[in-house]
Parts: sequence; C-alpha cells; structure tokens
Amino acid sequence: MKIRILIALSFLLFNTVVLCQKTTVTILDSDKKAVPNAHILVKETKQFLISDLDGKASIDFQNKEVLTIEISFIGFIKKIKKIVPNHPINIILKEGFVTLNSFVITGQYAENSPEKAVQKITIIDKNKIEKMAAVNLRDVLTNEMNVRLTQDNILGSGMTLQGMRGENVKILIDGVPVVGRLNGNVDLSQINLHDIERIEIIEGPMSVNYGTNALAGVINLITKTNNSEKLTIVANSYTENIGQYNLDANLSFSNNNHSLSFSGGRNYFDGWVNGDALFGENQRIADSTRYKSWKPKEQFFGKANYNYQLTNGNIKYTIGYFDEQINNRGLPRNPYGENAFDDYYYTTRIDNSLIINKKIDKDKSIKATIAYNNYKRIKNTFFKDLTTLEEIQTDNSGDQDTTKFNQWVIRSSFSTSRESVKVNYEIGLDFNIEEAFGVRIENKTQQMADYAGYASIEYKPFKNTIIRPGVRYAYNTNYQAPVTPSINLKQTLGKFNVRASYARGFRAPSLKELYFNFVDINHNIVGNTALKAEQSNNFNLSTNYTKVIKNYVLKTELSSFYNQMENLITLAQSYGPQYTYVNIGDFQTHGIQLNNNISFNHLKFVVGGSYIGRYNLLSETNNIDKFSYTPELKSSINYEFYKQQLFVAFFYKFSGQLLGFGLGSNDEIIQTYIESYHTADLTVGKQFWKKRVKITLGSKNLFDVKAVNSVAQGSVHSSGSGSSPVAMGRTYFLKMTFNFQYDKTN
Amino acid sequence: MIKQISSRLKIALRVVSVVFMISIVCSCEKEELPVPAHDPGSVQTSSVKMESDYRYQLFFDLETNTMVKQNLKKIWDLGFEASENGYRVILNSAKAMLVANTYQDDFFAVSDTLGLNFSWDAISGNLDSTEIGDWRGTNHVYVVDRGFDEVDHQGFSKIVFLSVANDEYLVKFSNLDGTNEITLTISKNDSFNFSFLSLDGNIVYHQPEKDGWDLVFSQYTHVFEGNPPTPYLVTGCLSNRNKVEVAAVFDKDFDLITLEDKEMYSFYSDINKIGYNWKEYSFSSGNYTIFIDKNYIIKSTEDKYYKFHFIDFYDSNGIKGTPTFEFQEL
Repeated sequence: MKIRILIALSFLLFNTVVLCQKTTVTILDSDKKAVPNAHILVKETKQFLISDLDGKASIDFQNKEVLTIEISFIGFIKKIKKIVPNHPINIILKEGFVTLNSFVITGQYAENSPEKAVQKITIIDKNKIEKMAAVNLRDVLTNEMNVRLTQDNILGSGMTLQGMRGENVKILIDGVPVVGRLNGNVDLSQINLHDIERIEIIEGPMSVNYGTNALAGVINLITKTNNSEKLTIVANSYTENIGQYNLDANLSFSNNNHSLSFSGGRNYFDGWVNGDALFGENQRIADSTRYKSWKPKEQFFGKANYNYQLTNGNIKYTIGYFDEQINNRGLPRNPYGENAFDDYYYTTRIDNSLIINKKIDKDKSIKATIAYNNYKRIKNTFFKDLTTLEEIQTDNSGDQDTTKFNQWVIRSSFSTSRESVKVNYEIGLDFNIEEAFGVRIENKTQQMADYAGYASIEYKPFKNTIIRPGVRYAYNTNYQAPVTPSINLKQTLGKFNVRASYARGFRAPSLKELYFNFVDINHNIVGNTALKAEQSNNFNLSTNYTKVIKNYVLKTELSSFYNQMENLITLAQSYGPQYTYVNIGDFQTHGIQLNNNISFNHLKFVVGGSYIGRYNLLSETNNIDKFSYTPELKSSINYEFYKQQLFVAFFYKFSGQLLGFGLGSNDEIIQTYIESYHTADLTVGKQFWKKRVKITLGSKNLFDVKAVNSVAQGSVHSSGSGSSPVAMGRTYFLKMTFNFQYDKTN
Repeated sequence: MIKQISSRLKIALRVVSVVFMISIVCSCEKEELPVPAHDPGSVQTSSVKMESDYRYQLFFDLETNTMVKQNLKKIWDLGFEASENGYRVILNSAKAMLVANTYQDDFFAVSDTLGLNFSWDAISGNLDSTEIGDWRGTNHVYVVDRGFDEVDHQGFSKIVFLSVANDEYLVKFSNLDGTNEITLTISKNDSFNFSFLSLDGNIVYHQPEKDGWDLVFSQYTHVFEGNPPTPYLVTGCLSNRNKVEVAAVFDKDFDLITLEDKEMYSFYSDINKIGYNWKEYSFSSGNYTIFIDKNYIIKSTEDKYYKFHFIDFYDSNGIKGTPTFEFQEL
C-alpha cells in the first residue's frame, strides 16, 4: 500500500496521472483548507487510504470504471462520492460533531443525531463493546459514569443509576422491556452483547414513552440488522484465565428484500473463589474447594431473525432463546464434611418480537411492536453425600421453587419529523400485560394489564430552540396509574448546547408487592393491593461545548440532576407480627458531572468525574448528614493504528466510597459504607488476513479488585459487617473473531 | 478465484477449529472425586426425628442410648409441679405460649384480652420465675394464649387455680367466651416432674418418669434481648431439670475431652444450657450449619458424665428437624 501511494505521489509530481487509471482526490474543509489523515474507503476495491498533509490521496481504479469512495474523519460528517478515472476532484467535508455511524432512536421521532436530540443521550457503540471485550451488559457498564454495579452471586448483577436502585432503570432490547426482575433487578449478566449494535442510555425519567420503571433512566440495546447481499459467517471465541470459555457464531444472508440471520452460542464459567488457580481447574476431591463464591455458570443462547425490507421501512421478526444454569455447590457441612447442599438455578428466557417500521412520505413514520416474553426460573436443592456422590432432591420448604413471568407488549406510534415546519409530534399507544407465577404469590398466579397512551410535541419557535412537552395517561387493571408529564428544552448558543428538562417518572407496584403471601409461624409478610406507584420529580440541566480545530475535537459536557422520589414502596410492620408493603418514605439524589472527550487524529481520550449525593432518610429523625456523597472518576484512552489495523485501549474507573446510615442490631445509628475501588482494563486488538480474523487480548481489572470492605444495615438475621464482591481479581483474556463473507456475485 | 477462496477457507477453518478446540475441550464441568467417610471409633452416634415442622418432643436417655418416648408438642398446655410441696405451673414453651394475670376474681367477667400484658416463663426453666408465679391465696383469673401447633394459633383460654394439696390440684378453665367450662382435679405423682393438662379438657401423660431421661429435643421459646424483648420459637435441646447438669466446653476438641475436664468447667442446671445455638441458619447458603466448637459435658440422671456434641440437623435425605449427635461416657 505504501509503495502504491509513493508511486502515486511520484506520478503526481511528474503530472503523469493520465497514464494510469488513477484519480487524485483532495480533501478540504469548508474553509478550503486541507484535511490530512482523513479516512478514505473505496467500496468496490476495498482499498483503504489516508489523506496526506495536503489532504490528497491517489486512488487506483484497478480496471473499474466508476468507484465509490467514503470519506470520514472525526469532527466531520461522513461523505460518499462517486469518482471516475483521471478527473481529480476536491471533496469538501462539512464540519459536524457526528462521528461515524452515530445516531440514536430511543425517544426520538425518527433517527436522529445525538447532538440534535432534545435529551442527553449516551451511546456505547459496537466499537467500544469490542474494545472492552465485553461479553454482557454488566461488563460494558463497568466503564459508565453514574452507574454502580452490584453483585449477588445467586441473583446476578444489578445496578444503580444516578444513585437510584435498579428497579428504577428500564432495560429494553429494541424497545421491548426485558422481563424477569428478581428483587427488582434484571440480571445484567444474562444480557449478552454478541448481536448488539449499540447501547443508548438516557438518564432521567422516560416514563412518558416507556411507562413504569423508567424513572432513573432507560438503557436501550439496539440489535444488529444485516442488509448485506452476502453470506456472512462470524464466529467469536473468548477465553479468560479464570475459567471463562465463550463461543458464539452468527450466520446471515440476504436475498433481494429478505434477510435472515441465525446466531447462537455458549458461555461457560467454571466458578471462582479467592485463591483459585490462575488457570482453569482439574478434577478435584469434593472438599471445601468445591465451593465457589462466584458460581459456575453455563449459558446457551440462540436467536433467529427475519427482516423484510419495505420500500420505506422494514418488518423484523426475532425469536430468541436463552438458558442459564448456575451451580451453587455448597460447602461440605460441619463437622465431618460428608455431605453438602447443592442448589441449581435454571433460568429460561424466550423472547419474540415483531417490529414494523414504515415511513409515510419522507418525514412521517409509523412504528409498531408486538412482543411476547417469557421468563422462568427454577431452583432445585439437592442433598449430596460427598462420600458416595449420590444426591437426593430435598423437601424442606423453600428448597424447590419456580418463578415465572410472562409479558405481552403491544406498542405503536406515529411521529412526524418535518425539518421545514415548527411543530412535530408523536402519538403512541403502549399496552403491557404481565403475568407472574410464584409459590409466595397469592393464588400462585397474578395478572396485571396496563393500557397507556402518550403524546409529545416538538416545537421549534426559533431555529436553535426546541421545546418538547409530553404526557402519558394509563389505565391499569390493578392500581391507580398516575398521569405522567414531562417537558424538555434545548437551546443552541453557538458552540454550546443547553438542555433542561423536568419530568415525572414512576414505578408501578410489582405483582410481588401487590400479592406477596408468606405466612408461617415465624413469618407474616403479605402484599398490599392498595399500593400506589412510586413517583419522582426529576430536573436535569446540561450544557455541552464542542470545538473542532482541524483534526482536533474537544467536547466538554457539564450536567447536573436532581431526583426527588416519593411514595417509596417499603416493607414495614403493619400491625402485630404482620409485615406488608406500604407507600412510605422519600428519597432524593442529586449530582453533578463533567465529561470531556478529546480526539486528536487517531487518539481518543475521555476523562470525566461525577459527584452524587444520596438522601439519608434517617436524617429526618436523627442528627446526621442529610446527604452522603460519592465521587466517581472515569477515563479511557484509545489509539488506533489504522494502517496496521491495530488498536490499544485503556479503560479506567474510580468508584468512590459509598456512604450511608443504617440501623444497627440494637436500633442505634451506624455508618454504613462500601469502600472505594479502582477498575481498569487494557486491551490490544489486531486484524489479520484482510480483516477476516481479529485477535483481541488484554487484561481486565488491572487493580486486582476482588471484594471491598463494607458495613450494611444490621437486622435480626445478619451481623451486617463484611465485604461486598466486586470482581474476580485481575484476569487475562484472549478473544478471536473470525469473519467470512461469501459474495454470491463472485 | 475459486482456488483463492478455498485456500482462504482452509486457513479460516483451521483458525476456527483451533478456537473451538481451546474453548470446548477445556470447558465442561468436571466430575468430583468422593471424600473418605468419617470413622466414628468408639463414640456413640444417635439421632432423633422431630420432622421438618418440628412437631415432636423426643425424650432421650444417654445411658441406654435410646429415645425413651415421644409426643406431639401440641398435646399439652400447662405443667403442674408434681412434688409433694409443689404448686408451680409452667407453660408449654414449645408452642410459644403466653399468659396474663387479669388480677380479677370474677371468672365470668373475663372475656377478652384487652389491656392484658402477656408474658412468658423464664427461658432457663427456673421454677421461681414462672409467669403464673405463686397463685396460692388468690383467686385471680389468668388468660392463656395457647400458642401455635405446627401451623395455626390455638386460641385463648381462661383459668383459675382453685387449690393445691400434697397430692392434687383443683383448677377451673374454659374458653375465653365462657364456653366449655371444666373443673378438674389433677393428681400429683412424685416420680414425674410435672402433671400435664391440655386446655381441651384432659390430663396428658406424655413425659417419661423423671429419672428415666436426660434430654428432650423440642421447639421452645427463646427470648431475644432488646427493647422490647422478642420471644421467638427456636428448635433445640433442653435438659431434664431433675438432676441433669450441663457444662459448655467451647475451647477444646471433642476428641480431647476427658473425665478430668469436669473439674475445669462449671456445670449449670438451666434446662436451656445446650439450647438451640449449636447450629446457625445461614442466609447465604440457605441451610443450617453446626458449630463444631460447641461441645458439652453432661451429668446425667444416673450421675454419670458424658461428652456430647451435635454433628447434624438433617436426616440422610437432607430434611431438617433431625438433630444428630455423638456422645461418649467419660
């Protein structure tokens, strides 16, 4: 390649381009200044060139008559141009803040750029997912600000966003809510990213569009859609030295307007406990080493989707299957270690969705979604004789358990996105029918249906101003659903974008909170059908500033939020020995965040910090701080050697000490905390054989964090002091991706 | 072109197969190897089955290594001291029973629990600290909260203790609403600790003779300290208040305990000295764990010394409610 460019340059010098089938392109900015280092991709010949210091590059036609080139560079809007031999051409790139393929859809009237969106939207693109070598949603959120991850080695990975619990975060896949909340949380490690194109995160309530749970924010995972007229096979393998072995493959092809894709895989983890061998384990005796604090886990997953391209839209049907088995091998029991209780947890998810997008005219669109989701979790307990390895299923209450959730979602919306007029709008319907099954739910099964309509208007009184009010009204069969308003404002002032919003959010009482039933001699906990929704008032204010100087882009964003929640659903003593769920207590969080993105040629540097305060409910009755504050820092450095197809990426996050107050075992006030910790990952990746094979290797959790000291609120049953699991220490991984495309036209 | 593709395919396939090899060969759950079984030696092992809802009370004699007698815990309410001068009345703490003195003499006037202050017997079993106390010389009506059988609350009764003599008691009791009134003579027999009454109206002979057993495995009411103190049903082992004494040996291995050790540790006649606390429910693992350092020396009704410790709370099918223990005469 280098030689070719040299030859081209020498031809240029002698002005003898005519002799060869070549054309010189010159890349300029709007001030007609040269743009060096711009990326030029020639679609037909798959050449990849970089413009020189004068913004010039010479393109070899390789016997073709017309070539299509795609020019992209950070700080500029991507441009596609056709070129013919021997016609040197100047290509002027328009400055824009849009980086490659960056657009958002969550809460938008049509595909929109994040800069234009009225909400502040964070994007985690495929690129970042790959660079982090993230397997599931938990992995990728380790480097997100305002997100704190929690780990329960049976229930899985949970999160808090803006200081609010995971039950207030709505997780969507292509706009369809993920079911299966245990104790309010979706297990983030069950959401695999192998077919995810990008993740859009909106902090702050999106309850107008998405209803319940969307109170602290929405995480929408957008799956890949294949439109390539080629048979594509992608296979990934991921091996981590602590005993993680993942394998997945994807097959996709298209014909005219039809495209089909199939994917499937298996993730296996052999368990981890502090002191585990550096590499996977061998066969061993059934002694105390059988116990793992991070449980052995096996996941199988498969997905099929069919996409039909309409003239102005598409129809996509997806069916996904997910199966997880967690083996919780118990410690050999005292005193002789001759037997143990082993628990097995089986989770199955089946997700169906049919999504129709259709544009009427150029700027009106209809979107419809029908989805049926199915979640089942079975717990089995076995009593295992370790001297004979025989096991018997036990019969104690609570040992065997089944939980099921079914969900129907029917959504449709109509929206306009006319550039020329001042008013655009969206109206939509959102129907959700949810069914829960569990032994501790009254009558074992309960159902809830929610029929909601929502509308919003985007009004642009002036060129740089957007005002967007919205409202949602719902009828719910089981409780009085609240009316939810919101208003968003966006003002562009030169290189500044200012966004402000006020929104109400809500979380509907869950079927468990409405219909729980657990009564025996020592327990008396019942649900409360008179519960109201938890509601919040949220204020967000943010401003960002973007500066582009040639190949240098600086983006700074300062934002702040204030959340006030009321009618929190809390388990409390009602009368006598009976406990029930009641709407009691308030909660508040507020925070400030600064984020800087600096791009310089192929270097991308991110640094930011946040400071979040959480309200202490006990301050109402005790002389303690009203808020406890937690700092966070995040940084990432990323360098791409385009020609060598090599990247180096470093991700860092500091999660500050999480302070709070709780009641000790004698009802005294105690300081609760989870100690601070640092996480960092380093990865290097390179592509080989014309991008057919990609190898990524690196180390996760460089600071070797395992568990951090913590003190939690004491209770009758537990002493409360101990440590919280964070990660499994420093690990090393190797990821190989094989990508083969078979072109039918060849 | 085809050749080129096929050669690429070959390379690619090779890579894929290597990847597959690494991932699949290493990644399967490996079968465990069994551990050797424990050799009990000359130590005696025994277990008693209370069932997983703890419905039974089981009386055990160490000398003969036998379970002497068993009864459902729900069949009795009150125990009347059976010695010649005895007058004291105990509650069936296996049902978490409570009692309140109304300080009223009019049996018919008492009809509800309003304003009453219910409480429990001392957990040590000390007969000087029963909640009913010394009722002699009064005609106070007591309201009895009959506590729980395995599942349900058994309701309330009212009772008045009319008299006590060297050989019998006279009591009158009925349901709280006055129905089912019964006046009953309860005879004393000094070879038993107590005579037992069910407030359904019958006398119950469930305990073995007082010299014939050492330990009873049962639920009982423990009171957790705090403000207010919380009575809570626990499951464990109580000792015979007749002659049996227990010393806790928490700092010495079971195997190393010898007869000389009885001089080193203090013996107590509190019936709950062994109690429930030799096991612990772990919320993380969801089952009971035995504390291996909790050993005891028991002085039996025959004046013999035994070392004693628990080794399990589950039967061989993994069902709870079967205390399993090892003991050896010193």
